[in-house]
Amino acid sequence: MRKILKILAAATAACLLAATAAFAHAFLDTASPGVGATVRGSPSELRLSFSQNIVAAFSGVQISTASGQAVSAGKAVLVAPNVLTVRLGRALSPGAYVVSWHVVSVDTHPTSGTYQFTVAP
Amino acid sequence: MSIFQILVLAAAAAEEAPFQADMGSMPPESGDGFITIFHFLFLARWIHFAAVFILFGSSFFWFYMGHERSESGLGGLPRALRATKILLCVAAPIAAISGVAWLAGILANMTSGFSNVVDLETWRLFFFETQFGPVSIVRLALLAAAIVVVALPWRNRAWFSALLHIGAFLLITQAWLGHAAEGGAGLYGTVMITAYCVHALAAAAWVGGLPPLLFALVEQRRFNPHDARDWTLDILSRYSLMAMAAVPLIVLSGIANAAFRVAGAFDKLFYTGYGDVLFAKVGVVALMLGLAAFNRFVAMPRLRAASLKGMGQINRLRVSVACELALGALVLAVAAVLGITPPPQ
Repeated sequence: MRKILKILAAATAACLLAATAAFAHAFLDTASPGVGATVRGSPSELRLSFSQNIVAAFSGVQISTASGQAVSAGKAVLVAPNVLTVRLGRALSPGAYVVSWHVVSVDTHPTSGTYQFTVAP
Repeated sequence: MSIFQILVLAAAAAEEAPFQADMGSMPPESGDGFITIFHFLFLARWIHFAAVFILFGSSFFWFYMGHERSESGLGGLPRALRATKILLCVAAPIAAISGVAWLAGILANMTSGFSNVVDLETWRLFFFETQFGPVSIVRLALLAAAIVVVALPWRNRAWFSALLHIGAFLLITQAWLGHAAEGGAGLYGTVMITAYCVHALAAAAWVGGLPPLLFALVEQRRFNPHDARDWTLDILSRYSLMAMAAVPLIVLSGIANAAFRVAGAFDKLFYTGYGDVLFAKVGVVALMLGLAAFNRFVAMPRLRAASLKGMGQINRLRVSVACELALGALVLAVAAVLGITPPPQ
């Protein structure tokens, strides 16, 4: 019994040490163009990296101008378990753009958010 | 702390925007009438947990009680056995309905509305285009199997064994429908899933074993005080042997689960809604453990020492086992909330 307890305690301690990565619901980790960033020239695609692996079938990204006009863009594609990319339909003219995303993480939980970036002339 | 308070806490935690707005947030609770998706998920999960705990723990009970208990001869508990069979026959369809409701709740939550639950294409995506789709199909098959088994006319040991295994697989597959699934396919993810499964199985053995234990204690009223005392002591020793193996597993795997959720930074539990719900759960479990320890280390020796007053002691034991069971149901309610509360990051 004591031996089993020791093994269990060791296993728990190992779990504690292993549990260092930040997980839970998927939140936006990094984006390209960056959140709030100003880029020179139109990007050809948007790249969104999340804090957790996500489900492509229930995830999507929309982009619109600051005035709310939708910008044509391809379907969001999962290029890594936690990275979505979206090809832009046309070159973006200078101005501010709003990206809205919604994802479902592999633990079934939905999250969503928006961010802005600016294309400088 | 009442369930209502826990619900309010959890709802507040779910609404709390944990990070800068542009890093994302949980969907706002759309006012789908009186019952929100959150309440729906909570209820479905709670009822499902309870039903599956019974499928596993209550059928498991008869395997560590020894053969003679399930027979009608000396020391047998025919009434407790029959009551357990009825309980299992009720638990199987309830597990199935609540299991389907849980999946529907997940889908509604993912697509932020109950309206998509009737859309076949959304279900196709759910089952075939997600990581949790295949697990959901397996769970539906298990639930169907449970209903078939309880409809069978032969209620023998194999019948109990079938329900025990179905219950075990339902508990294990639960791991992929929640926070434990976020670790990925590697060793890290495997350890995470294992910790969850150990926790669920050990807890189900403990709490799910309480209803048949209660039935068995009630049945002692039929016997003369001397036999009742001896048999009660035997039943309690067998149950407590199982419980003393289960409790360390529950506590250690519970700590491991919490460590995974907060990524090793336990201080986060002190200022997040997730931490509040978790501490509520720990509090109720501590109460249960206190009661269980009282039953094992105070009430049992007293019963052993009692002579003809044995019956009175058994009656009191019945009350404390019933209280332990009620607390167990409360823990499941808190667990149902915990799994739909975003862990701190």
